[in-house]
Amino acid sequence: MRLADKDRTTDRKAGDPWRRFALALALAMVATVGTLDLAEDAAPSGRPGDGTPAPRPLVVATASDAISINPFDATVTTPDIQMIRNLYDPLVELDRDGRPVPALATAWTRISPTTLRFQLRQKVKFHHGEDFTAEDVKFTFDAVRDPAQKYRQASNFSFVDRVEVLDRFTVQLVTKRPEAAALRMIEDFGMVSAAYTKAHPAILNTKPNGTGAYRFVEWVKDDHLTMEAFPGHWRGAPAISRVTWRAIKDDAARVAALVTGETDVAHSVPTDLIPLVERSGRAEVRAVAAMRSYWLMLVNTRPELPTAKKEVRQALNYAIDRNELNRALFGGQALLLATAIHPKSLGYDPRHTWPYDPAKAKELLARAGYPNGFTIGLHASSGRYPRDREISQAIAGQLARVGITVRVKNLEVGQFTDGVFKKTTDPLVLLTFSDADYDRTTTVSISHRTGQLWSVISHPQLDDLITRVEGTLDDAARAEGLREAQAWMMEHAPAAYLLTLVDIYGVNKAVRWQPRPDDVLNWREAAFAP
Amino acid sequence: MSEPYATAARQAHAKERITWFTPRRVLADRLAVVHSLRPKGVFAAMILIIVVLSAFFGNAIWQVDPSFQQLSARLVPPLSVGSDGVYHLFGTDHLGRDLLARTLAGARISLLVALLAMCVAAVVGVSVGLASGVFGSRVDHAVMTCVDVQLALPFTLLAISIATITGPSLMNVIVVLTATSWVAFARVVRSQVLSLREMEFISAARSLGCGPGRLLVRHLLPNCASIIIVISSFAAARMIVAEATISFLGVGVPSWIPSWGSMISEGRTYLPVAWWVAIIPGGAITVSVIAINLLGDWLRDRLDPRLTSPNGLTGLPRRNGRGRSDAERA
Amino acid sequence: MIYYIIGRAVRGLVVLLLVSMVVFGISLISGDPITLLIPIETSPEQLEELRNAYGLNDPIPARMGRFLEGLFRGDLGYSFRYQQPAFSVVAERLGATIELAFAAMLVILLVALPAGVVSAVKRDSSFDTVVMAGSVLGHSLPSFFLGLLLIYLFSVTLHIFPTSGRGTLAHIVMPALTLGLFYAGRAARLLRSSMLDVLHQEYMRTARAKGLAERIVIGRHALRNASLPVLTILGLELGGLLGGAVVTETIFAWPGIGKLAVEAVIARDFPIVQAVVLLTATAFVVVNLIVDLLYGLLDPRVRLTRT
Repeated sequence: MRLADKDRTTDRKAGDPWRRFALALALAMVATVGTLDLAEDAAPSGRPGDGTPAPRPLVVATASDAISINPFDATVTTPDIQMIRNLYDPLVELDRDGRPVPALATAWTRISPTTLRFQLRQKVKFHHGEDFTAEDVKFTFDAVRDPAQKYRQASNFSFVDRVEVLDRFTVQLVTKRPEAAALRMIEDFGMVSAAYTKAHPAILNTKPNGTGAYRFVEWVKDDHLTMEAFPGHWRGAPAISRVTWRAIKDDAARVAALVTGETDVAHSVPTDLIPLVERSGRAEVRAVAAMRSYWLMLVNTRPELPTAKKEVRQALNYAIDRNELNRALFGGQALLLATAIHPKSLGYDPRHTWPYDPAKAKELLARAGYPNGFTIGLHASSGRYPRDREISQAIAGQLARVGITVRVKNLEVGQFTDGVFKKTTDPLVLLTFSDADYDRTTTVSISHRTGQLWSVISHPQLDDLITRVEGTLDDAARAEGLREAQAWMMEHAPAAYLLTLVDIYGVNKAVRWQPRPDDVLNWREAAFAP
Repeated sequence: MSEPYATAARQAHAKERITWFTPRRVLADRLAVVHSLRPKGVFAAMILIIVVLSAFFGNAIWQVDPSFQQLSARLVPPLSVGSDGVYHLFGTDHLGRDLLARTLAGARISLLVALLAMCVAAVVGVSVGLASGVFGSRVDHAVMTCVDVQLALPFTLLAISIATITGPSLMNVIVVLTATSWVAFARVVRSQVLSLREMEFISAARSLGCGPGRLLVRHLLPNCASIIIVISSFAAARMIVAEATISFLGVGVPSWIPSWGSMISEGRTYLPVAWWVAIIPGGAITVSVIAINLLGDWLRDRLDPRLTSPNGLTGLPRRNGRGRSDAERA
Repeated sequence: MIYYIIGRAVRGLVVLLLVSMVVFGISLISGDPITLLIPIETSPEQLEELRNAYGLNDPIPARMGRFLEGLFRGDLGYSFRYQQPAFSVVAERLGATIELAFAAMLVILLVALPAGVVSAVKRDSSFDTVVMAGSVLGHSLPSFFLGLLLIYLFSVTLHIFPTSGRGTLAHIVMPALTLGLFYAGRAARLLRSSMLDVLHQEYMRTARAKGLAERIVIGRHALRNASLPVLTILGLELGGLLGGAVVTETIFAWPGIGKLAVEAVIARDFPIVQAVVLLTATAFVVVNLIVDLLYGLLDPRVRLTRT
């Protein structure tokens, strides 16, 4: 029995508010999603295929986003310095072999053990038009050490006493003590403009102004940072006109982005994903032995620890198969280490090696009073350094073969760092140290000297050796001192020095660029193949 | 269960069936259990039994050490023999450890953690819920505020915070899981108690001189039992996923103990070239959780007839104005 | 009624205060962010100086006093890492999370609505079984696993969608699916059971007896009443959706507040954690309040028992 139309009308009216509400809600959602996306697209993103007729940008994918692009406030754990180097120039740079070459300073001479005089480059302009003069150098060094501002990089320049301006293009750097490594310590410090920065130092956080080959365009935090070529650069305009940095934390996603063409450069490709890159046809792998090493520090500060005994520490060195680690985790590309001195650094002594000898290891353990091995903890990070989890667990597997049971603790970076700073770690500590400089003395000092933040060991003899080397200003004499230190390290084994890292980059075949051992990404050195 | 409410419910349930057996009370009761086992309940129970058995006896059958590394046999595909000469049913991971052995070991850990956490959360939550329902409105308001605070704190952030303070350990994982799950129990038990409080048998008991303690234990608690069981099953499923999630983020079970979540996290890097390292533990989690969820469904259908009765979700005016089906929300 | 609202609002404020105290307590125990940011050559003395300068060595009552004072002024703190007020850091990323939340809700609507309604109407058919199986599956798959599967399938293997990040419409599909399918499964089942309840009611019979088309009966009468409990539950979930898309944002590198909060916890940047937690807690409290009131407004039975 069908009803008359008017009854149906009644029903329709009753249902109307609901339908209207549902429709409105759905429309609102679609509209929101749509407009937010459109807003994104309207901003210049510099990604390939966004429809604008801009020249082809270079898209670089790193593992994390920068925290700060302010040269005074750059942090250690992110690509801060890598980005800053493109925006700002330092006085002195390191070349691919780790030797200082002129940048904003054309020449330098050592006037006295505590004074270095720099001749500055003329006709250099900042991105916003200011001229570069000696005043800017003095301002930069004074500003970073300003106690009112509490910058993170301040401690790096505590060795500086003052900067004197001699004339418009000459400055003098005076240090508090004779400092042989002064050049190294200022090599990545970008110069800022006094006129631009003096009024509002915080402006450098959001609107950088440097003399570098690239000029800042925009930074959408956690998404991308874009820079464009600075045509007025003293080296001339760089070949690549636009660079976009993207942060993709997940390794597989970063490599996938490279393979699909979303990015042109992928930083830090895991060894196992190399076949993926090779198969893609569009990109290839470019690897370089890095100036960064993995060291397994052996804590000896408490006498009851097994690692307090020299024999045990030597046994650990014999029990770790560095070759196997190299083959399995780094594709055989890493350099093996015997001591703290990198094969490409000052004073390297190639005579020292630790062969893989589990039998000898067991013998040494027995002699030390541990014939059945022991259980020991390993303090390692989790994702802070490349492949840290894999290496720590692989070491545990290798030590198990000689009867040492290792409990690996992969900790978040905060707990990891706290344990190291407060000296509350397990007896085995896996650390990496990066140092691009040819002379590794400072790194050895930071990591081995008793009481330093990053040092978990204590060997007074080694401390004396380090102090002696640090006080020597002549390179040849320093090399001799370093050789002595290496011999000492082979005898007393304060750590198991494992291997150098291999920096593996995935790069679009059309990009002409070779990676550097110090992981510096100067995009002015790159170009697209025609 | 000996309380009139529950028995009546069960009998009503049994009576609704169109049966082919003699409708004598006793026989009907007993056979009602068998007949209510619909296919999905059987399916779920079977899967769960397989999971539990393999978790506890699997390593006796497949005698491979889950922590044994063989760096020469990394990323061996499933159903093949590695360069170490060993047959790997599920393949090996990035350090050459047999994946089947690790999956079995991970099953043990996941089930253990989930069960322990669920029990502790149940004890805490039920006690709090009972107290809140029985001891008057001051206590009730205080408890509800605590519940709201707990719910407002995001689970993942809380887990990461606690882990970064205390370091990785099994105890921490259980503490974190308990801390975030007791709320479900508390809320449900509280609303149950609030509605039971008004019922006649409670006022009858009270007028007979029953003290609050005895009232709680002998009268209120057994009537909450069925809904507690239902909530527990869903809670267990959620715990397995939660443990996997925080292990995936790296702040769960310590790294020398195999856990499905951390296996997925480690295998994630190798997904394009060695899918089995991440997918197999993920599949294991999914299967276990499906089974527990199905079991929970079956339990709920069986034990809580109010949800399947005609009034169901939209019936029974509530005191706190919230939507019904706390069981589903949990 | 008005007293009820005021009472709930007050309780909401108390909850927020307690939440921020909890986060503050965690920040006290957990350590300071300075250690993670300093250059490697810093000496122990320089570290102590920095800590003193930032007030991290002050006694606890002083720090708590500063914190509470800041809270009442509306100042959520200053992030050491970003050298920006915490609130502005969060505000920059809020749009991304809201976008993701809305997209996920769209997914839920588009999936759960037809699935729930049709499977209730065609009860015990094969469609019903498929939908129920699908919903159990969606509810049981851990969201991070689903995300990984989607990336592997659609990005790495088939190259349909980009792997991560935010930009075009294609970037939001997989994160929205990952976030939405989890709740869609549950919503579908809820809708189905509540539809089943409603379909058996007597007024359904009346509507049919009036001779209305089946489509109108279901669409207007049944759905309207059935959606009520589903909406309340989904409303409560929405509070969690805004703050809790943490895992999804991490996997897809979606620059929202969830990912920000995770990184902030790990880096011990507690002003940012405070800001995010307070934001999501406020959303949760407000949504709870609204849902409660709406339920009271829409379901006369509840109103009667309350007053």
